[in-house]
Amino acid sequence: MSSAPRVLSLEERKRLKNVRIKKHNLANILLHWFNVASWFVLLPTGLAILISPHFRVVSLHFNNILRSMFGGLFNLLYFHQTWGLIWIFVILFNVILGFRKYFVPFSSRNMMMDRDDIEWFKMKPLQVLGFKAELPPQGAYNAGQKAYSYVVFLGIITIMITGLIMTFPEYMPARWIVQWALPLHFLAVGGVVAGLVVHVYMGAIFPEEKSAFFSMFTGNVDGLYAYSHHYKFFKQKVAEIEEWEKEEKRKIAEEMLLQREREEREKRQEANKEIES
Amino acid sequence: MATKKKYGFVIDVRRCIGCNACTVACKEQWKVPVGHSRNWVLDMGIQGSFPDLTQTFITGQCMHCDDPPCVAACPSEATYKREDGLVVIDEDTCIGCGYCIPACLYDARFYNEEKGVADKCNGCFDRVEEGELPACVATCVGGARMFGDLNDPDSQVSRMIRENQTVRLVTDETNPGPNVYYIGLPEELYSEVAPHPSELPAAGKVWKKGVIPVVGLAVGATVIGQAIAFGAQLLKGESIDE
Amino acid sequence: MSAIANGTHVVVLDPRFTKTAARAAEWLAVKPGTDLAFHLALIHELIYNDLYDKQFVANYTEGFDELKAGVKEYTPEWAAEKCEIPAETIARIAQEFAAAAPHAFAHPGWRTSNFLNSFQTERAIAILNALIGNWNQPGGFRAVAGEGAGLASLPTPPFPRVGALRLDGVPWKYPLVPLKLGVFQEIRDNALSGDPYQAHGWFIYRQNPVDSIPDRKKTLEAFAKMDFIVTTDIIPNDTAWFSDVILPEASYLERYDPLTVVDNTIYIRQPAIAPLGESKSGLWIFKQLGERLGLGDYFPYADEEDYLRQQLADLPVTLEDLKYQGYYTLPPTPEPEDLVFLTPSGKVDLSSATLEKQGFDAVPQWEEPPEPGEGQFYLLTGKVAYHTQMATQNNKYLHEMLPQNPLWINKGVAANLHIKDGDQVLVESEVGKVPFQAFTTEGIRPDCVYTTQGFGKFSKGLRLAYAEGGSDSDLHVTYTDPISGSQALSQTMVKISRIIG
Repeated sequence: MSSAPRVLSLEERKRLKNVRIKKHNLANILLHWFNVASWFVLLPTGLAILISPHFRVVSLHFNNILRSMFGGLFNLLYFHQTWGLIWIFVILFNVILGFRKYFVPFSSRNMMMDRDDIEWFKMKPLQVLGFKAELPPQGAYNAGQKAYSYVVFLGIITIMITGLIMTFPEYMPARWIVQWALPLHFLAVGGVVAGLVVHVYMGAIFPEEKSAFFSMFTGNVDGLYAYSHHYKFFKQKVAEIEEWEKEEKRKIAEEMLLQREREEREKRQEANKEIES
Repeated sequence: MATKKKYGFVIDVRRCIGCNACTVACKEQWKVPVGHSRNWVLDMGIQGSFPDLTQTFITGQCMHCDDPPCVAACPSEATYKREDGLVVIDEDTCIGCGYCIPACLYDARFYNEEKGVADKCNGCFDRVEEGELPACVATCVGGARMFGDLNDPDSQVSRMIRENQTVRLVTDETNPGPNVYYIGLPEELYSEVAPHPSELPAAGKVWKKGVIPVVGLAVGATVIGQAIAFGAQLLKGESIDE
Repeated sequence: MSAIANGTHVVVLDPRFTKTAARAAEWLAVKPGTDLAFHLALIHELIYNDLYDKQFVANYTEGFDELKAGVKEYTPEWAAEKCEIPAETIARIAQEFAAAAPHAFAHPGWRTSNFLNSFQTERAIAILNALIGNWNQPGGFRAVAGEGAGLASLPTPPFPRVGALRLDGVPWKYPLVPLKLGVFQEIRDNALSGDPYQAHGWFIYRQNPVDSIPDRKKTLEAFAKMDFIVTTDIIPNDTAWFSDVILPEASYLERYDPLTVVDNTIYIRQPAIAPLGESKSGLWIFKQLGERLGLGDYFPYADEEDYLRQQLADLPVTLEDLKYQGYYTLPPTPEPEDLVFLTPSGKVDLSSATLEKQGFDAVPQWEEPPEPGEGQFYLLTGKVAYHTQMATQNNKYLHEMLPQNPLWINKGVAANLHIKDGDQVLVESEVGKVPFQAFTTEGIRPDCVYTTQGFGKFSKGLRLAYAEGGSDSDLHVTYTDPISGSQALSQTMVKISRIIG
């Protein structure tokens, strides 16, 4: 299932497995798990609010159990809205503060589609259906993950805006804005949830992605995983290390040269001193 | 064991004098903004030609239906039917989305701009709980409006229904079980007070018919897809890389 | 409505199809001013068909023979030609009325100041009730305790004798008008004419003459002649608007009024809230004025509650009890041994010596009312359930119900005049021109137009009602009945034309 350029020997695989490559920083990790917790809370409470037979997508039992747990619709709504506001604030805080230094470079580097991604979209379905298909090398995030990131980006913005509209309807200039906020909120959540099903499976259940799962705690993936699934990322990291090593070697050589010159100068000075005396 | 209450109205159209005391009493009781009304008195106009004339006044309000389409339309049940049958709106949880308004077959609901919520007759439930009559009934000058427990055979409303011919504003296609019974409603006026079908606003229709099926398909597809993948994974067993 | 639900047969006489007519069993579109003919014919039928209550007439009435002679020509056929109600209908109603006796009742009507012959109409109605002996019978007239019965009066020094003639012509011009009442429009006319003497000031209390007296232009001219006008009112109504000083009175929800007795029960009016702004109760206002005029002795009460307590002096109920309960039922007045009426003879005067002495007809006689000329209409005015007289047009909720007063015009007539429903029309009388919005309807006689009183306000203090609709008093010509002093408000004839542009 990998997009590796060649098949590695067992020796190479063992060696690569012990190499640690950093993929996620601490802020990323914390934000991710905050988001997980928030969705664990916001999704069920949100679904429990939606009780109309026209629009309900859970069982009536579920609606009633949650309403009982919270002590009524008002408390349930209040909880959902309050957590929602906190969720919005935390995400925006992260994104806005890190916008120039992190969000923009991260997105432009990791989330833009290229030729390999388009090829991946053609090959991956064939592979899934069981045909032999070679996947083009992928960067830090594969094409599927990139596509989902767009869904999440648009989805979360929609969820936030429509959520705010429904929480502060008295400030809306027209009632149709509130009316449309409801189905749009639902649509955005639905889109993200559909993708979440794949994201959670891939991240937590699919065995080949185990390294990725743990990287969401440690911040690091192992070299074998990176080589196999995100070769362009691996290459870039290796290239960075090579570049660094080259730079190190050059610096050491330079240092040695400078050192030798210094020693020769001192020898010559001492020799001159001896001749004079 | 006492039976559950089922509050309802009986309106004797023959006694309505079109004075609108009920409208004003309700507005005063609930501070309804000018331009809206929780109840109404329809002046059906002077009918006939001089000097053989008739005039009927038909008063009404929310019918506190058995199966209220407005309650079904509310996404969160901020409007709900009480144990005693009265349909009310919880102003603290209503966000004023207005889905319930076109859902009412009798146009009994309206949007209250001052409060930012949906608004309608609530059966004066706090007066009723104290053993009083709703404001409109208490003030009715002609004695046309009556209110009480339809499940109590000795109540005035039950007696009036037994002793008189009554109609409710329903058709064969549209019958949400209204709990307002009319006495003396002239047959030729039925078509003018017939209920219209319950509707959702455009956003609600799109939600119900478009968004939910699409989301259902998407989530269903991914769940099924991943379930299959998981099944395959289990069958395959662990590989050397793991 | 309860009576109707119990099977009472109601007949309504009105040139217009009112809500009362809509709920009644029969509506008779009587020609304006001819109700008198209708009732005279009923009297004729009762007498000449022997349908009247002979016992009652023998025991409790005087002058039956004069009455009989007086109504000899007033047959249903004669009346039908006058009032445009078919003779058979009149005869039938007389039969049915007598058949239901004594549980039948000829209602005197609410505002009876319609035509100069309205006094005779009221007499005829009273006589009709006497002829079927419905006094103190279920479904008939009921005797109630007199106003103020049981309540004590406050002790005041004797009132000074007034030497001057009353400016309202009572009793020197209107000998039969009770001194307790008066002829309001006469004050205005005499203020203008300066006859019998020029008035210089006017203190107006709980009246709104600018709106209620006919011929508003004339009223304002009279106002202009005053040096000083004071008005006491609860809202800045039109009369207050033209006054020099307004003494704001608290509304009925904010004040104590002297206790009243209605149907053997004392009712208290007490404040539900403290008076808003600077308004005060009438009792307070008059005491304050009295004291400053050196007339404190005539206002022998410390405050409103003291006044009420003094009224209750002879009764076993305290003011506190009354405030809590809201009313107190007096012990029932013992039924008099026999019926006694407040006439000189002690009986119902079918023929009135009092009237005869003053040179009027002793028994009710037909008086031909005026008719509209070519292209003219009777201008009818009246009330609606939503509003109270001229006082509530500015109330937020009532204004929403009826913000202005459309002019009722018969549909056929409107079509001939090219007037569509909702058009602006100009109504023109001898004394004024007013625009109205037309309401075309089948519910009015073709020779009549109608509008509700109380609109067309001048006062800018009435923010909602200001300038909405038209004032009937701008159109009314002043006609005063010499017997009762009542205004004849329906005798004004008007022309209608569509306002173009």
